[in-house]
Amino acid sequence: MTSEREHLPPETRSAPALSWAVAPGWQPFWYAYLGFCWWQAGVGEVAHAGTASAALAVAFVPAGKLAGFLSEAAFYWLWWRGGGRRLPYWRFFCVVASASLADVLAIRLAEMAHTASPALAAWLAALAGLQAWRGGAWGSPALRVAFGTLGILTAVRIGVTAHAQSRALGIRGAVALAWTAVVWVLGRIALLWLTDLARGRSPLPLH
Amino acid sequence: MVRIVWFSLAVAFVFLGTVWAVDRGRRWDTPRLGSAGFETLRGARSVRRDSRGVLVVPLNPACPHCLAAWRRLTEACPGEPRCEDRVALLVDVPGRPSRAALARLSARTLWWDRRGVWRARWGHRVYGERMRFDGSGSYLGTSAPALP
Repeated sequence: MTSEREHLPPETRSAPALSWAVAPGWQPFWYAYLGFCWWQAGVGEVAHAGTASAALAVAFVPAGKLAGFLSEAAFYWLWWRGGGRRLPYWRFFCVVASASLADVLAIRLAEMAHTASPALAAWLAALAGLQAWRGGAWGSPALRVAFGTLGILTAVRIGVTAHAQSRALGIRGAVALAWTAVVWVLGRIALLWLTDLARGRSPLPLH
Repeated sequence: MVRIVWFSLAVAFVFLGTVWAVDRGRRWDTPRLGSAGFETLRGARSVRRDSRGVLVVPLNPACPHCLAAWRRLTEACPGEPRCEDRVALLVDVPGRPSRAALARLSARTLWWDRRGVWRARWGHRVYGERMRFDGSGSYLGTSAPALP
């Protein structure tokens, strides 16, 4: 995989073939809609925390997600730049932000799974992630935090991100998918470590 | 420049993993009330022998989440005979709390972890969790903070 990233002849490193995921004229409205969706997802979390400061914090959820999308796009831009390729940053950012709707949907489905019948909850867990599966036996709460979102919707988001890189850079889809999946796994491992360091021997309030 | 960024990210990842491995490999003391040496700020100084047990809730005055969890806990079981004794344990407070700060905290029994035992020796780090001890002060287990 590394060899393909680093040693393709210069003529194959062509101009981007990645079109805008959303037409530029519609983007202000589209980003506003995404911000609204993430704000709503944050409202659901406030219902669990139930404090005034949490209600204030929910206002920052869209801003936090925006920072996350910018960082994710910058990460991949840097990654391919290291191999001599140029990923069109803002077009790719538009894909990353748009694909996050899969995460919003996963959060909604996971909430539904808490009150659904066991059979339905199992199906919802397949879509939204293993954390929604009631029969799931997690060895560690940090493991659940890190990998609990692993489901079909996460796979779709990874696939969309990889497809955009493949289109933009003219590389094989399997290569882009492999790198994107590796980056996702490494990010989740880092999250597992951070969660464990934050909790020590304390249990986590997971629902 | 790009190489420097990647090198820094790789170093940060390895460093984080090392810190995690060292932290998980540490041996922590089993919580025990008798030897903790908490300072009593209000209410009972120690666990009664005939007590039904004690629920110790680590709190920090600067943490609204854990104070809200404490309020929920006391409102859910406000001193009925079957309830465990509830103790608010002030943690991560380096100096003696002011009278004004103490007045804002509604608790019949209030202890202060002056020596940082809860974090440094027991290895616990989540405010508002519920640590259960029996009548002799032996540790029974810990539950996550009460959710609304």
